[in-house]
Amino acid sequence: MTGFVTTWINAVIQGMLLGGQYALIACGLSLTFGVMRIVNLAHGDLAVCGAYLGLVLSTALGVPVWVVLPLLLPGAFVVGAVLQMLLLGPSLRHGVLAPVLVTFGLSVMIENLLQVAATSDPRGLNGGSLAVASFRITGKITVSWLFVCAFAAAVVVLSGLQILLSRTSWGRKVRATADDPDTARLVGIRVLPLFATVAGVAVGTAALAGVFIGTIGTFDPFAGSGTLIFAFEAVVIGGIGSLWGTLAGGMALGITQSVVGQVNQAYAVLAVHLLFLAVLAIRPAGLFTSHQEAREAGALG
Amino acid sequence: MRAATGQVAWAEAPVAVSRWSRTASWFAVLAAVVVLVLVAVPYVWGGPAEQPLITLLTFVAMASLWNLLAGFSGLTSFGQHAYLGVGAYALYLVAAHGVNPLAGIVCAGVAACVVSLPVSVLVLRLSGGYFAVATLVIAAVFQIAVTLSPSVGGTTGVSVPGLAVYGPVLREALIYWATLAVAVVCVAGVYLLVRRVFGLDARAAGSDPVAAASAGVRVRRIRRLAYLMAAGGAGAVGAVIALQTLYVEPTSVFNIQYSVYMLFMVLIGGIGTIEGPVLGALVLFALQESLSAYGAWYLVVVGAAAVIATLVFSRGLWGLASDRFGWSLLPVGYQVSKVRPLASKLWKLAGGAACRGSPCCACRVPGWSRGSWCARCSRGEFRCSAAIRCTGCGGSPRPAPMRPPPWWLWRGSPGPESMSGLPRLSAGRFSSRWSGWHGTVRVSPRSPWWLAPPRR
Repeated sequence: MTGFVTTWINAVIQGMLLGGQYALIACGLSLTFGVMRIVNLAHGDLAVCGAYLGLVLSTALGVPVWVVLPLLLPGAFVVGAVLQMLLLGPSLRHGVLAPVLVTFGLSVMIENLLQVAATSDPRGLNGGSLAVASFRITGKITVSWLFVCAFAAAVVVLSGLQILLSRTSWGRKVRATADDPDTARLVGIRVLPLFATVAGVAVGTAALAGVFIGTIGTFDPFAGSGTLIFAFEAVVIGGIGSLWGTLAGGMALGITQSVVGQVNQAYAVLAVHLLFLAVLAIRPAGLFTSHQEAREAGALG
Repeated sequence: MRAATGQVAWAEAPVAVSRWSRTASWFAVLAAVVVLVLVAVPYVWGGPAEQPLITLLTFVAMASLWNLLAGFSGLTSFGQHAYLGVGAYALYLVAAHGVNPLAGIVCAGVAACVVSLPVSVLVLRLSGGYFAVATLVIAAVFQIAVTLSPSVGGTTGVSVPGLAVYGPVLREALIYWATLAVAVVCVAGVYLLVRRVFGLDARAAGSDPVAAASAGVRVRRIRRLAYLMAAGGAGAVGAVIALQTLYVEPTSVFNIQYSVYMLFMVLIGGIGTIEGPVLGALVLFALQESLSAYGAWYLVVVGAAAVIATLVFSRGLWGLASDRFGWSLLPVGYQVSKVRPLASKLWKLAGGAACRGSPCCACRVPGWSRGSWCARCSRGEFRCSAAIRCTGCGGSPRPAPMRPPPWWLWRGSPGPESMSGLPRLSAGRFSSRWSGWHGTVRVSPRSPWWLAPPRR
């Protein structure tokens, strides 16, 4: 195999693995929108919060961040549930615009509180030996275990969510509520606690994604909005409301970023945004959702 | 009930439908005075007052434009800073080609409008929160595109040329006046626009697009128009910001902080009102002046205030004030009042009885006119004082002389029914047949005793 082809194959593989991270963040966004019709503009900031929390815990305990995940994820779940109870749930009663405004305000608050608390220095998380481990596929293609783990985490989280939603009674309730909250309430589903658990799960996945982002690269208080944009693009490209579409969308983003970055790093992010705009122009409902479904979900104007 | 009879059309009903009020007139005068004072600022207070006022005026303009977008049309765009940047760079480009920078403000607005047209085709396919994030993406694309273009200075930015011909004092004053003009045009433009059918359509499309479309509103067109106009205005504001700083730099002009400010001002002031965003701009300006030393805490306060404003008082400060005091300085809706106050006053001054309407629209005779209620039966109407006859009871509009009702209507006396031996059914102080107009006094079964017709 020539070096030229190897370079491109390497770029595609790295891009696919990168896409796993995007999908990991995006699935929480997708879940929140699918069930509660809230586009959580603070989702990226919550992920960054998770990364900071992981940093605090792992520094305090002196262990790699993976060890504190059992502490971190329940904490994130509780935070999400409380947020839903205090802010997002009440905002739903004030019309369709209120959740957007509230979550944007929340995002501004989180970013600046983080800056006050942790300054704007870029930080990284201690990933232990996993962070530097890698394995070699062929001669020149080396894959970091961390990327593989992030991708695997995305697949596990997505399939876990899929199973939870399709097989368990919780999932049945969630799907019923997503279809029609009023009717769900009529048949005896307690909608508000259910929403709180959904928001908790979404924030938990965000925190997990934040930990991976923080371990793979660095993060600063204002990394959230960039993260949100990527996650959002993954959701729209994959198709609004389709979990596996989100994974495909994330991979499409990752591959685009990686391949264009191979040519010129400066254009990588621009190419991702342009891919998103192209999908919006050609197939606004996304690749894996029909236009009708997306319109019914209320995402299309 | 009246409409059901088919006799009285809505326009003839004894109510005045108007959108202007005396408060609004006084406020218009006050606003004109304020604008005149602001125009005079460079002569009186000079440079030190101009810089903060320029900031305040850009806030006012940004808030009004964002209100047009989010408050009236339901398009929560958090990427309006994209058009601030487009305007700033358009100003630089036209100024670099020798156009006067002050004329360049108009060019910047037009340029932002033109740029926003293809963008609107893309982003308006989404709605709600997805639209919001798509606008963020657009802003990111513009910023990256500018950063990658060496012709507009790349990451380092460019300084605005063409202002060296003016002396420093005149230059500052000119920029100040330009800002004032942009702010006044934005506020007045949004107001006049929203008063038109456009405002009604936009609010319908914003609150429920499906219902609006089914009622004949061309939702896409309305949204696109709102987006284009908000973008054009933002372009002009961006040009003003570039003139104020005299330097255009991607990170400062494409700053999401501007969008945060727009959100804050509109939410605090009162979304969906004309007065609210201006009030919000004043609040933000005061906050900025007092809290900017605290750095990030300032933005924490701004974000928290936006959240609280949405959740607790969703109509903003102005909504609170207008609910409490009934103020409407720049009315956009129609209000139904029972009579037209001014015509009523004039008629009283002319010595007439309590006028219940404006001069007859057919013959201009003041007094009982087209659309006034009959004082006697409260049901018919009088066409005009020249043809005084109630269509309901055929009576005269002149107050009937006070006279007691006939004895057979008194309470306890045998009424017309009981003349034939049947008992009366009324239980009140007066029989129900008494209620109605007796002369100038209206008597109802609940009237106090002193209004009772004299007993014999």
